[in-house]
Amino acid sequence: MPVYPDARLITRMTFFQREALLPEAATGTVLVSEGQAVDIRNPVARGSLPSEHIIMDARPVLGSVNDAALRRLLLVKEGAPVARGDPIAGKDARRGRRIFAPADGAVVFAGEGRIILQTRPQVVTVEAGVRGDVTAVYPGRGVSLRGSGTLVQGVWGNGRSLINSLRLEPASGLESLSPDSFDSAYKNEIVITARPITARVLQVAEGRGFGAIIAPSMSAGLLAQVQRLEMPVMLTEGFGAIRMNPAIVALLQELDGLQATLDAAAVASFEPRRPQLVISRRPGGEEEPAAVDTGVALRRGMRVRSTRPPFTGELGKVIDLPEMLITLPGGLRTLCARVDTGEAEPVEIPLANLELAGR
Amino acid sequence: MAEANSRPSSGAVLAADFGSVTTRVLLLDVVDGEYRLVARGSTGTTIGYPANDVGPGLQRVLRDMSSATGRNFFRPDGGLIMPETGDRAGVDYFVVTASAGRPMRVLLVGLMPGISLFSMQQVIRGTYIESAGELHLEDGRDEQGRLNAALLSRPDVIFIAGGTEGGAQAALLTLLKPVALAVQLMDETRRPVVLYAGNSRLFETVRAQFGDLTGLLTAENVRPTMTQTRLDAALRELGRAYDVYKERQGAGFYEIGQMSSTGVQPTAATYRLAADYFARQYGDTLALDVGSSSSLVAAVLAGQSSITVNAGVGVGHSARSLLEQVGEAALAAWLPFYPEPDELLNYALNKTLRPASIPVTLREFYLEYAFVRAGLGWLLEQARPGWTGVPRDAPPPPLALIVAGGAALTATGSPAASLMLIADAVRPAGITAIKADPLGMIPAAGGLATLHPAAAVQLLDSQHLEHLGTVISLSGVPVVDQPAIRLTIKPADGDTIKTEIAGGHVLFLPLPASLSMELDLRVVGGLNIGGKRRVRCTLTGGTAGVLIDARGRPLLTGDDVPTRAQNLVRWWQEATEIVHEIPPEWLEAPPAPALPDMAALTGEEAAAEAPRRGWFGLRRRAPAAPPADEADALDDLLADLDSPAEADPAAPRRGLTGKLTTPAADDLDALRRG
Repeated sequence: MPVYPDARLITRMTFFQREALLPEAATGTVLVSEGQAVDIRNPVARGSLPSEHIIMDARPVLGSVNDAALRRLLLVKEGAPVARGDPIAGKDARRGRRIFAPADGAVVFAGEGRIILQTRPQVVTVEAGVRGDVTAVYPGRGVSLRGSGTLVQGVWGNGRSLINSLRLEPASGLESLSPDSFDSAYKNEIVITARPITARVLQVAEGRGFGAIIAPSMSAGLLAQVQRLEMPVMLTEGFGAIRMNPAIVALLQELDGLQATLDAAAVASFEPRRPQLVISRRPGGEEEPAAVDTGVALRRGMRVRSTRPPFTGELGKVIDLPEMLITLPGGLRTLCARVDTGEAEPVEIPLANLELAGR
Repeated sequence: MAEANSRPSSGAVLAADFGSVTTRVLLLDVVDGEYRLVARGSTGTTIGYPANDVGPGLQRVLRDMSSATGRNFFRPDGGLIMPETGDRAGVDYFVVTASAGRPMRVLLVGLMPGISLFSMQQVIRGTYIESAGELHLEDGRDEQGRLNAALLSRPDVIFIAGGTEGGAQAALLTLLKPVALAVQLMDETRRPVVLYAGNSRLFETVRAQFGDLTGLLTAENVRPTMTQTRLDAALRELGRAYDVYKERQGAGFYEIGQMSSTGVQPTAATYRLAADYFARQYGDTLALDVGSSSSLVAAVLAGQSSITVNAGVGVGHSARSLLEQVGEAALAAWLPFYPEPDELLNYALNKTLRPASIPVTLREFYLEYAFVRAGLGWLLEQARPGWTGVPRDAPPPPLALIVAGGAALTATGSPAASLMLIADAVRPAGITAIKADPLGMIPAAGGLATLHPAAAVQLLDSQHLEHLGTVISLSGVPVVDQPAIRLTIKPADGDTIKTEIAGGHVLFLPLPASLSMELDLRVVGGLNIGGKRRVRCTLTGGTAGVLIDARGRPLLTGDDVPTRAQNLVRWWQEATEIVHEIPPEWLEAPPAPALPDMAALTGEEAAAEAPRRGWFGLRRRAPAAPPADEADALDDLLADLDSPAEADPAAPRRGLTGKLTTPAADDLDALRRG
């Protein structure tokens, strides 16, 4: 039976997809249309997050009036913004018995003797983040974009994003930097480290004003701290003390200094997004984008990545797909692929633990 | 939803079950007068990146099945061919079940926490629900607070109940007002479905308040009197709400639901149907499903049916939530090592990121199955209040049958391993037949039940459910390594074997499905098997065989890591013949957290020498060498693991009583080989 592995792409030049979506809780509108070309900074959707509502009893001020009369007494249009202290209902906006807005917001309901004001919601704007074309519009939610360039998909992000230049860590690692240096190196940049994030690394990052961090892993003990950070953080491997695969390090080294979009999306289960680093580059020249191997059955020659110990993060090529079950050290028996990871001997990795890595 | 004929046909059936990780598709057709499985396929569920549409996964499987069977499923426009044509293209029925995707968020609105709310909580335990909160008369909120609670919780369904039949109405009306206002203020495209199952005198009032705003479902009052509960009608309507929710949710469910003959049914409901059906044949039954994002227990005990679904207990997407609910101590009870700081949370988070992945290393194997064993054990505890007639603090009732679904329990690649894991997780009492559903036959049969009950029965009775075998469980607390069960085995075609099983051990007897054996079990004083001191039975085999569990109840894995390591390794070996070599460093206690600052502050430099106390004056366990008997046990364990017996299958092994080979054990080994 064919097997269709998940895909998590790490590829120098490819066509990629980016879902630019409002948070699930937001209500909003899409600002672009299908087929439209967009640039990195173009807003593609804008919306607002739910906010508190305030119920005001109009009767003590305006008397018992029916719904139509109450609406006639409104001094502002339903849905129009009002500032705290603005008169919102009464016979005259400047004098007499009036009801005043208790907070910034908008009147959303008048009836049954009450006026309801929605406090000013937090507005969210989603930028394209990549140079490309709109391939699908999800009304009220956002768009799917297609672009080309370098793509490194991660496994976890803290829900922030940034567009800025990439910068590799020093050879001695980020921990070797002083957190309170006046040196502006790394400031506001997307800093890449091949080592797991530690508490010291976070101290350095905050002290020196890093723009963002891309790292292979971190301990779950740092999770709450990293989720509170304003700077985007993306992990490429997972939680624990896992080092970055040398092939990813080599690819990122080539990109040092380039402008990139880091979308460290905090991906909820079943969301169509991946945290990812994108460097938009138009097709053409010597390097043509490779097709993306998603949705195709696993076969020999495919580039894959192992997701679990003892080979977490290893990249390699499938050289065989044996049909017999293989017994793992714990005793589970499962189908495995034989993968060439560049070591002397190929290794057997359960099919369930393989992801397509792209070409 | 596609229209189905009122009279069941005898054409082919396509059944698709969309799990959080795996989409399983079965093609069922009549063979020799009965419905049988003729083809199957599975693939990763294509919700999430990149497609976020279950359709491509289904099409992928159907293409593969089409290649394998020659049957064409699709019309040129991409739709499913229904009904089946004369040239055996398409199918007569397409049934769809799902547990994939975000659970349905339900806001409960009832009068009193212990009465109507309690009944409503029992109803919502029957499907994939995430609580969006509760509004009731004692919630401490005013009208504005209730309005905001309803608006900001973003429910998919508002479930309203309260008031006995013919009882007072004013109190419930007080709660309905802000809820109706909240629905009115919501974006029209996002308004929740309202389900009302309260005092029927308020039906028209509820209809007037919500009918023009959103979809309204009504059901029989869940609490017609103070002492009566009627949950089934509300549960059925909640199933309809689930269908509406799935179709609204996107991810391709609308299109799939339109093609299907039954809409999108919750997979959980099919487990309840299966449990009800099997209980009529076997007696008290549990049907379990341990999934990636949710798990469930459907129980039929003493004729009373119940189901508990927990959308936060799973071993993939919900691994972190499982850890939070179950707690580290419950997981550590199944680990032969001291977890490193954050190791359990690291593991859980990595599973949420790659829910389909499986453990390769020995350490991850133990972590994975600690989540499964502890998670299922915890879920059973949560389910117990719903088991009518079973006191919560009483020992587990003897079970006639356990049916298990979900890859964690059924896709081990070894029937004996699956049998052992189910015994560990459920810890049944008495004599219990064990079946597994690795193919997804329960969702298919349950999904088909309303359309074609006879076909559903034929599928559940078929051999496509894997009969793993039988677990015989000793209750009481046996003395470890002392005889607990005296056993006489009469194989159908062999000599009688007499042996003893020591307390704290398990004995696995491989017995193929085609064979049977008579067993006569006598337990020593104070112990019992399903309440009896002597049990005689004839058992037919299965893909695994018979597991006699003399570990006693409650099942204790050990108070310390070396004991646990010894027990877990031995039990696994006795059940599966797989030997786990535990690295010696796993058994070394990590250094206790040092308190240098306290010592420095108080100047008590000798603090490190003295027995230390924690922050609350409790004595910490010193990281000292184990006591002599413990160290001996450890040496025994390590010597055992290094034993040449494992290198030579014919060499004497540690046998039934934990002692080296006895003549009876030789006989049993011959039985194993035979």
